[in-house]
Amino acid sequence: MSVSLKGFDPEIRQMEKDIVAFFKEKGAEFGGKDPIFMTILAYFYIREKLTQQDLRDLTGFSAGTVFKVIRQLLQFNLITKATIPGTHKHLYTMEQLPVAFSQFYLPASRALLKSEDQLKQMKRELMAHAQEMEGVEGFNDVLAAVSLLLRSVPLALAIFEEIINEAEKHTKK
Amino acid sequence: MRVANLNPEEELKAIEKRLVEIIVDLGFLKGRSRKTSEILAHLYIYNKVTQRMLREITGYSTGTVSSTLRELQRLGLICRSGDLHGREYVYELAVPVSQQLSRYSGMMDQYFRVWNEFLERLENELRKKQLSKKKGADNIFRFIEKMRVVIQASARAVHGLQSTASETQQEKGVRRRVQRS
Repeated sequence: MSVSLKGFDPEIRQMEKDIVAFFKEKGAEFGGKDPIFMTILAYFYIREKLTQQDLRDLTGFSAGTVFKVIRQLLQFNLITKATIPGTHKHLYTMEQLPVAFSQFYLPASRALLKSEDQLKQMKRELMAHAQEMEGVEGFNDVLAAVSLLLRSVPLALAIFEEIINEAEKHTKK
Repeated sequence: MRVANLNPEEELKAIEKRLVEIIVDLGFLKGRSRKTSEILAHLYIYNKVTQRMLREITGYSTGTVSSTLRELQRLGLICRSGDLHGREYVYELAVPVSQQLSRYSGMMDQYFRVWNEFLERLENELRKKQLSKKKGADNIFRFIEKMRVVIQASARAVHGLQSTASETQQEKGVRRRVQRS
């Protein structure tokens, strides 16, 4: 059963709103994360089990917006979907931390590794045809962007790995 | 690999297109929409762009380009830096790409501090105002606990990396792990 929206005391509901606002603001400020995505993610962190209707009531977002973010969270393995017995509605549940960590960061690491291979290939192509392409407008910009992304990938991968390790240590406690 | 029959200009465009796709894919991990990531990708590549340039490159409408840029400005990711030839505004990243990596590392301590302070304030508020028994308070307590795990794990991860002499070893570890999984 979904958590009732009316189930929260007004003072707690206000705290919840403050948390969501903070989550959204800091996610954008420090990580450039999408505010709508962060708003819905924050509600999952707090409420854990929600329907799409709950999220619409809590956030005021349209059905389409809620659905889009739900789809992303499902793809990231951060939430799971189950049908509410006797209805056609779905209940979405946030995976327990730190399980959710590994489920999110491992596919994210795979995506980064794939990107790294593609970036390496691009750099090889750019360097191999540098003489012909050098005069083409945008060559230096594209080369600089590829090189910079290539330098960033190992750091991001290392951070992901450490986060997974730390989360696992917490599980073993 | 080189695509046959492409002149250098077309070949560069093809590479640029693939680069944009990678940035869009990575943006997805941050919950960004395709159009936001696509516009941001062109800012990463070209450093400075105008609305007209973005419309031409992406094919998006004036309204889409304009609202996406406004949203990116609101998020503090880009800034409008005056006008080009007195006619059009120029948009650029708030932090140049070349400085983003070092800025990110530098910002992390601040990020962890801000979060820890916030969680402490929440916990104190729950206790001081005697809200512990109110409906929904358990959810807030669990949220605090979860976020502490997340923040502590992230802080240890970042600090561990900062003190690790060889990044290469870390990278190898990830590769082994990802390949195993």
